[in-house]
Amino acid sequence: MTPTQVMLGTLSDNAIRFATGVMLLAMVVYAARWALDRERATAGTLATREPAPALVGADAPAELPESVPVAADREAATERSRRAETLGRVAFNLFLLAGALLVAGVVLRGVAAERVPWSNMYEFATAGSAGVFLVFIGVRSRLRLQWLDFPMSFFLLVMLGLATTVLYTPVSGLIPALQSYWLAIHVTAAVTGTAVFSVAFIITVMQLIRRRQESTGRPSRLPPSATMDTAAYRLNAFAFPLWTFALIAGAIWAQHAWGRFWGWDPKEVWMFITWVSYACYLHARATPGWRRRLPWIGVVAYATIFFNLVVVNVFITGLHSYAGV
Amino acid sequence: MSTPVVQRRTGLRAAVEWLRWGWRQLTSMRTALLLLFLLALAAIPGSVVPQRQVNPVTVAEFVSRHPRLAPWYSRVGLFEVFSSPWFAAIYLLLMVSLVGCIVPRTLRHAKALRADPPRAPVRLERLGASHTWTADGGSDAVLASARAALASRRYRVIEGSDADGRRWLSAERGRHRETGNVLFHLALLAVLIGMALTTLLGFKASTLVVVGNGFANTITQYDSYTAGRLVSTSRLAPFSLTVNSFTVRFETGLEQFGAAREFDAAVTVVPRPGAPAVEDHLLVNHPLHIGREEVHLIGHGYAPVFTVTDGAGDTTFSGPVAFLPQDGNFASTGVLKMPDAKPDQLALQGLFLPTAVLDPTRGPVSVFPDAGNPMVYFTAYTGDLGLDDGSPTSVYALDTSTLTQLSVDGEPFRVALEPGQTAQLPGGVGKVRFDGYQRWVNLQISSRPGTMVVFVGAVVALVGISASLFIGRRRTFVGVREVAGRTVVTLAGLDQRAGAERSTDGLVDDLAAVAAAAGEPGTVDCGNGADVEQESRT
Repeated sequence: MTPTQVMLGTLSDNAIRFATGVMLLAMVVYAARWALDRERATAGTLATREPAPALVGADAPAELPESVPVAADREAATERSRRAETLGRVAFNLFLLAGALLVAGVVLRGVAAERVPWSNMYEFATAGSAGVFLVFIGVRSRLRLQWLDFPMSFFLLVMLGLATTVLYTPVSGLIPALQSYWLAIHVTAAVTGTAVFSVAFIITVMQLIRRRQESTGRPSRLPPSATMDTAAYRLNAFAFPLWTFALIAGAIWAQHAWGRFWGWDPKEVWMFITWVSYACYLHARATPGWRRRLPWIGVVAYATIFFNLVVVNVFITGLHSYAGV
Repeated sequence: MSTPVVQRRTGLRAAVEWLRWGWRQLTSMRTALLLLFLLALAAIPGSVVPQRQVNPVTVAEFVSRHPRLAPWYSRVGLFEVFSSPWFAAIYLLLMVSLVGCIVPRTLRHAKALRADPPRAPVRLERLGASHTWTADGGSDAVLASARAALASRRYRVIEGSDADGRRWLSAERGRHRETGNVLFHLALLAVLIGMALTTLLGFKASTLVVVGNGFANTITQYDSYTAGRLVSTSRLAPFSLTVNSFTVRFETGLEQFGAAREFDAAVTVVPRPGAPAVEDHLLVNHPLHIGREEVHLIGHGYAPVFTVTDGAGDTTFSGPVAFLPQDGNFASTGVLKMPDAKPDQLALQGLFLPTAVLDPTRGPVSVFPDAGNPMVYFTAYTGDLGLDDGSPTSVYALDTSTLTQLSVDGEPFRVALEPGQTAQLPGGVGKVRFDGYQRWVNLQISSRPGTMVVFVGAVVALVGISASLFIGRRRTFVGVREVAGRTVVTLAGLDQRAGAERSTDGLVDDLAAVAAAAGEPGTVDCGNGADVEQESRT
């Protein structure tokens, strides 16, 4: 490697570490905002809630909430909502900064290595996170996902934290098996598909939380679970053909490299399992009586992607052992 | 007399009823869904338990490590999940379910494709999204411009009128959403058929070729060979191939020190006897295509070159011997058998180290996969090699039971040689010269007829699934009524994505465009109303 490559590699490492730090800040500010919102939501419900009907029996509540909002309360609520808005803006800008640093880090890594920067687990995690960030920013206003900022910053922070500590691998060349333009096609499609599935997964997890709130009648600032369901479905439906393409591209590459397009190598098996799981998800949506189970199918399908990335890469040896961990 | 006949008839009818019921169950969405789940579940052991089809060596290891568990695994086919009867049962049932579902669906869709959009409903304002206003132009003008707007948005439009004087347009788009769906499922069948073809008609073989040597494509030259049931070995492509040189390069930088960076075999190919020779390069991701067969570079190693002179002073062996790599730094082991040596048959058991270092605890090891400091260590045997009775023996292993190991002062004779050095064997049985090393490559020859069927099927499936997920199927209606010399226009729409949560974005855009074309002065607000209604409905 030339000194320039080494320098660019270091620059990329620093950008991604810095992105992780800024993402942590963004998440903390989002958490603060979330807390304010919660306070506001609770105050708001308390202020407008009808007096509970008097209950007869031992478990009657000791005190009833006030039914009329006091002027001071209302002023405090306005102040809180103004503060929450400012915090939200600050957090989103930090989030954007972290994402920009991350994308810059991934690009620099590619320039340093003189190839697409997703050929081992560290690179897959960082490029995947950058993909999740870009997909999220791309659909955020279209699918009205502003409420997802906080969970998203948490998810990206965990991914980046793992990447920079456990998975870190310095810039290096490629073994001959990976020296093919199919790396750019197959793995790019897989990274993109994984990124879109990830955004859908985070929505699905929030949907399950929201559904529980709905069944207990707890107040929430989250959108109704049915809206989340639509958003998750649209993302999963978008990612499914991408995944299919990644699978086909992988098969063509396998034919080139090993003389067979499909050989039930563990990585192939799990890519197939993921494909079938998401096919189940799409099918279940069109099957009467299965709608309530849908989010769980989404979670299981996403779990198969993670199994493939973590367990198959690290613990099972096969032809696809390129993790570099 | 008639009673048994009646009984038989009801019995038959009952059986038919049962069959019908069974068929309905099998081809239902729910069964298809359960079978899909089972398929995913059944594939899991195939990735966790070693598979014979993927790597027989790991299966053998597993069997020796778990002697009590292995027979049970074997009995239920866990070592061959993907060719086991239960896995086949799942995908065959799934296939039957798919056929049973998709064939009627295809026929129904073929009919629907030729049909016109339906008549406009009488009460348009009852549809999910609707909007009514009074236009300035006459009904002809309104209908004409609405029609043009719909056509430009790729709607199929029909026009009609009711007895009460209302005139209407009924428009439909996105019929190919279902075409895509049907195509996707039919293409999956093609993929399955193609895969069956590759299994039945395909073969895979491998052969080890020392650089400088050649290879003719006949079954006798293969080291391993597996083929489908319908393959005839007499139809192998009659090519021959010579490996002229093999270039390897390994990482010498600190990061990933010793990782492979380049493999390049320069070859000369004669595609069939008498044809002109072709120079080519065989790389890991760049196979050779000769007729219907492919040649892949799947491995490499070292073949140290020896010259052995026997006790009688004759050269009994001269040339390279392929050694098999034992670790990532290509420490390789191999055997030399010299049945013609005099006075006794002679054998050497050797260790080749490409970059040899004497480790204080582990002894001689290789520290780099390239040949930086090649050395050979060997021990020697005399006696009966067991080659004369005609039973097959491995060229890589030595059966020492009928041999005597040469020794010096009671210690086994052991010697280390650098290229060019010669060792005298004890007892005057001969001498061994280590001339240097050559490389060998492992070539895989394979043929997969049916791959093209799978490929085309997969691409059609991809196009089909994309169409069925991304095409929006919508209906739009325009109703026009002349009331007291003015034109009252009602616009309405329906979004009908089967199964999918309806997103009204596209429909709202369409309605707004049609309204604008038909001269609605204000904005269409049915979009938001429709949206809210959609959300509250679910």
